[in-house]
Amino acid sequence: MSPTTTSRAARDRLAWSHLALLPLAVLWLLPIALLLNGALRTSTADIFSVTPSGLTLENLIAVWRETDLLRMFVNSTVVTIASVVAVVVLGSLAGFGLAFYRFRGSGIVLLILLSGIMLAPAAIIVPLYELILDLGLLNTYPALVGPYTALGLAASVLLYRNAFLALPNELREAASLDGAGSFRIYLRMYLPLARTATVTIAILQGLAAWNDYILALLFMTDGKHETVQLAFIAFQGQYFSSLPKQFAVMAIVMLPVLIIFLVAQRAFVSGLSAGAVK
Amino acid sequence: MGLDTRAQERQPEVGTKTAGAAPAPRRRRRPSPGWLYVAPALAVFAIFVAYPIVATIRSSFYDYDGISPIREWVGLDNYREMLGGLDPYFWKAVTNTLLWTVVTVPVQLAIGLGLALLLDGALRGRVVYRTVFFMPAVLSSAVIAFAWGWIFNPDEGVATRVIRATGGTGQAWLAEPATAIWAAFGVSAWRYSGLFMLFYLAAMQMIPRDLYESARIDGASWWQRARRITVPQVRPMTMLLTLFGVIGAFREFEVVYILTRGGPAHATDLLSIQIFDQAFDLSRPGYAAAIATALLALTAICAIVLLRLISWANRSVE
Repeated sequence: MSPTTTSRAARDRLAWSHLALLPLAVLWLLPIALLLNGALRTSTADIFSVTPSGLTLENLIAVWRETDLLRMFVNSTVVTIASVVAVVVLGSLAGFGLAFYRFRGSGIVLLILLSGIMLAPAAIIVPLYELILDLGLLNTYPALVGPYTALGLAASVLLYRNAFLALPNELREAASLDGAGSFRIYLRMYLPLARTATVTIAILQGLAAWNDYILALLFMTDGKHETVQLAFIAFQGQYFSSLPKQFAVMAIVMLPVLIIFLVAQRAFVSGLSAGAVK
Repeated sequence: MGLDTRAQERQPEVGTKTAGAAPAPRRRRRPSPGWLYVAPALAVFAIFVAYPIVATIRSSFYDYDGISPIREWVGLDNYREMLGGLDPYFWKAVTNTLLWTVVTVPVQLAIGLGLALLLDGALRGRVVYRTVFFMPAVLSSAVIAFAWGWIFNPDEGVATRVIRATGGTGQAWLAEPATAIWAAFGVSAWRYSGLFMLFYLAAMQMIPRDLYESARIDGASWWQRARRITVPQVRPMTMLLTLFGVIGAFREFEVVYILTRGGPAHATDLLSIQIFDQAFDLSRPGYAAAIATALLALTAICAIVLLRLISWANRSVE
């Protein structure tokens, strides 16, 4: 595919590619564009207008002022960061234990943890709700951090274990001869060397925790601990008659992730594809 | 412990400073330090995943309302109701869940592979395209359901307007049982195809370049190279993505739940939605647990079958 070998046929092919890709790209952008456009209009009649005139930030500002979106962002941030840290710490420890030591039962432990990858959260929602209720965790951060962490552990343990197994044996032998204990080797050598895995896991877990709707809907019911994903139902009544403000709420929910994604696009793409091919 | 000692000889544990010396045979069993590293993760997993799985199966033998503490042991009654045709919606949800799998997985594989093939080369603007197609994968279900809910809005939705502009009548996409599930399939394809594309692109990076060079010297066209080299070379990724896709289909819940709540007339009902409805709207957590057990079993069976198929296919490739 080097430019020197670009023949006429290859140029034609590239032109055809755009013909196929452009309409698809428009279709892919449409829902997002529609949402942003609606958020920037003040009157309901204009929501489907496509002319650039009449765009305003008024709704976004008004919605931000009139609602508790800030509190919801704080809640989402706390829950997301806590579960990312937990998944990185617990997952890397377990991945280290499973990669470094071979002990009786380690195969079963790995299999049990990995079964979590396939689990549909809906399948355990009934007892999970009862558990959260019984533990008195309803409307507390641990009600979300606990399940998010547990559900994210499978992928995290697998990725860390693979990353650690890929490290050369000589490394740990050298460190061990220098008298480093195993925890020291984990903390000072393995964890820093598995940076790629950490980025991947942080992205996966961060997205899963930030974007979760259903556990938040069930476990955060008191109006103080709601996460941003619940914003629409929380303010639906308040903005029942104002479509532009409904759009504005959802745009504010969407924008941070979209902006972070566009800025750190490279990290997202390489992180996720590194996780895919190992 | 014999096993443990052998393992240590093969793979000296760090922290054993006398790793070079011959290990003395141990008399007493001593748990491996590996457990210390695994224990915290296992504990969290046990509380929030393993216990709920066991409790789901246990609850499925009881009848209770989720509020009063009374639980009545009903044995297999929930399963009888579920499987015995007393609950037609269960079978509707099973059909929909399977339909969801056989429709969305091939579509996402095809679009993902097609996009990756087009974007693997030196195409101008390929980074922009990749970003655009991958974008839906980072958005939340709530945002996606809101945006698509408006596209499918029967009065003012974009999809409706397009139909009207081309001379058709308005279409209540999500309110008609015949179209609702296809609209939901479309949203799913839109959401995940870019993710599949990304994984395919990563797999294509691993293909040795000289395969293409020699094919080019032999005069193979782009299409021939794609069909004869790229597609077979990314087959392990196709297998993996099939597994991901099937598991994803069984996990599918949020977008459909927010868009249609399984309606109209159960046209978009999935097992995951039924669990939710039975447990929290109809206050029948025991019955919901029976459906959840069915979902667990279905997922496990599909995963085992697919894993077998994958290892069989990979072996036959080598």
